[in-house]
Amino acid sequence: MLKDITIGQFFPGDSLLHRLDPRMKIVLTVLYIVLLFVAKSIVSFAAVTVFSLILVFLSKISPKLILKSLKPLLFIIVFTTVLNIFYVKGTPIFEPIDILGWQFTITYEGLLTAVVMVLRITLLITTTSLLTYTTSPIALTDGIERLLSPLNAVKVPVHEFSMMMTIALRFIPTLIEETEKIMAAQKSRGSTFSEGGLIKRAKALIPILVPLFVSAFRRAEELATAMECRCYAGGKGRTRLKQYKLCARDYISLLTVIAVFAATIAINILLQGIVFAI
Amino acid sequence: MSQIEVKNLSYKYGVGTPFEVTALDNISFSVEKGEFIGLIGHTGSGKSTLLQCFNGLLKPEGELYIDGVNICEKNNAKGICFKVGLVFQYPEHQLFEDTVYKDIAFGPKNMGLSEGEIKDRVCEALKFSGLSEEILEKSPFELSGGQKRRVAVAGVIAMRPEILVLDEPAAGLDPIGRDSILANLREYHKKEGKTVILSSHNMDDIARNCEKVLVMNSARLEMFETISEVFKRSERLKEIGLDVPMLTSVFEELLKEGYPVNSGIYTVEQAVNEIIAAKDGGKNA
Repeated sequence: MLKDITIGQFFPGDSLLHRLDPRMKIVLTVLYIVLLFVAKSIVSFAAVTVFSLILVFLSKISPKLILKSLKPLLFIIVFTTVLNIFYVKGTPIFEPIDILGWQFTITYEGLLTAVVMVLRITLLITTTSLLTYTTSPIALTDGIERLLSPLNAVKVPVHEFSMMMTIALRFIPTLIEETEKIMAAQKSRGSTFSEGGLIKRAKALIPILVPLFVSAFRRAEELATAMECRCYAGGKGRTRLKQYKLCARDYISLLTVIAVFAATIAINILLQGIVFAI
Repeated sequence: MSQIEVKNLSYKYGVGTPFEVTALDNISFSVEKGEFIGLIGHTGSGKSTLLQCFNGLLKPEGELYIDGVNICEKNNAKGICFKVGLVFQYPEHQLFEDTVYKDIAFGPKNMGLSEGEIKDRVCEALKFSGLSEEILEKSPFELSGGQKRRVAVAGVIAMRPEILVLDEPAAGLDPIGRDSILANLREYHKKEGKTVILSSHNMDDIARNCEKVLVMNSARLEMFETISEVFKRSERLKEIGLDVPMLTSVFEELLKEGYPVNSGIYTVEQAVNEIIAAKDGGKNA
């Protein structure tokens, strides 16, 4: 049920991807997302796909888990496929099919666009979930904080934002567990969550939401007290336990991604007009 | 047939994921109507999982008969939560209504009872929990921890369950709170003749209240015997991370020192008799 949500989950490990500097990983992920939209021909898409598969292999995360992260997006993927297949105009592959007065044509361009869109969404989700699978939430927000630290100069409270994010991420599993516990307790008192109309179902949520809010506030207060007891006073003058330092593997990964990026652009230019997708 | 019959019950969490854990492994036992059963086991031994099977919250493999109905079969679990009342750990965390009355009435209301009947049941449950009627119109959130706990327990008792199942009802309460909640339970058991299943980490609480004890160890049922039989096997209990009541260990030490006493002592009464007997025996010798 709620426990099946894998987006944002972290799987501890010791692979190359786990050991990369979080700042570098975030930058590379952003680069990769741009790359996905730069790639235009089938050839470059094949190259990017192979590259992503190598990444999955390097992360040592079971492909099953990665497929699981795609499950919630299945609807969007199918929806865009169907839309693209039937709506993109171009040279028809076969004669229009007539169903109940509606003309359905499948075009060569439509099919191609559909394939490209599916690939793009799938690769996007796969690699961005690799980022969260291989980076602990703390390292992730730490990385974001460091990357955004130049904004301190214009008085953006970067540290406070990242602390808020860390705390929010940290409490997702706790709150999920809490919700399940409260649901079980209310079910034991005979409340049902899957019967009746919309209003009845919405009302059935009150016995869950009220205790959940109460406990969330209680937790927040306890946490704030605990932080104050340890003399937490925001980011000013705070030093770090963990100092990040870029090393060889970070630079090598950066070079690799840049190389793939360059290759993609080169393919786009060289094969222009021969095999194109969009 | 017994009131509760458990046959080859098994349950696994997270089937098909890398986090699969067996929480119950082929458990069988039966409980007669009106028994007061204790449930002990180390943290993570499957106690809470077993308790949640009783009222149909979890769907285990195997057979679990409540009054002859197998609630593991589809469609049989409906309404079983009114027959088997389950009080969770820290039940005060489930309070949500704006008055104590409404919160206790939540269960009976879900049973579809009439307003008058609900009122009777709330008052009765309140009395059982040792609370005064003044608090009925108060918000549950302005009560003390011990009072909240009682209100939550009353919310389950108000459904008049045939079998009352409690998961560590005294955890985190002060000594007075813990004694009074357990005393209320004893009274509920005695007066109404209902079956009570009580899980606890406190061996003295178990010794003082229960007739028989279920001992769980890493998803399996280790023992199911009367209290004195279970506490006689203190070596094994310690091996699986449990303890014996304070009195039991005192008498074991005395036995080791060579005094003529029995093992398996767990109440003050037994202890007094045992000491008098030992003293007399010592005089005669």
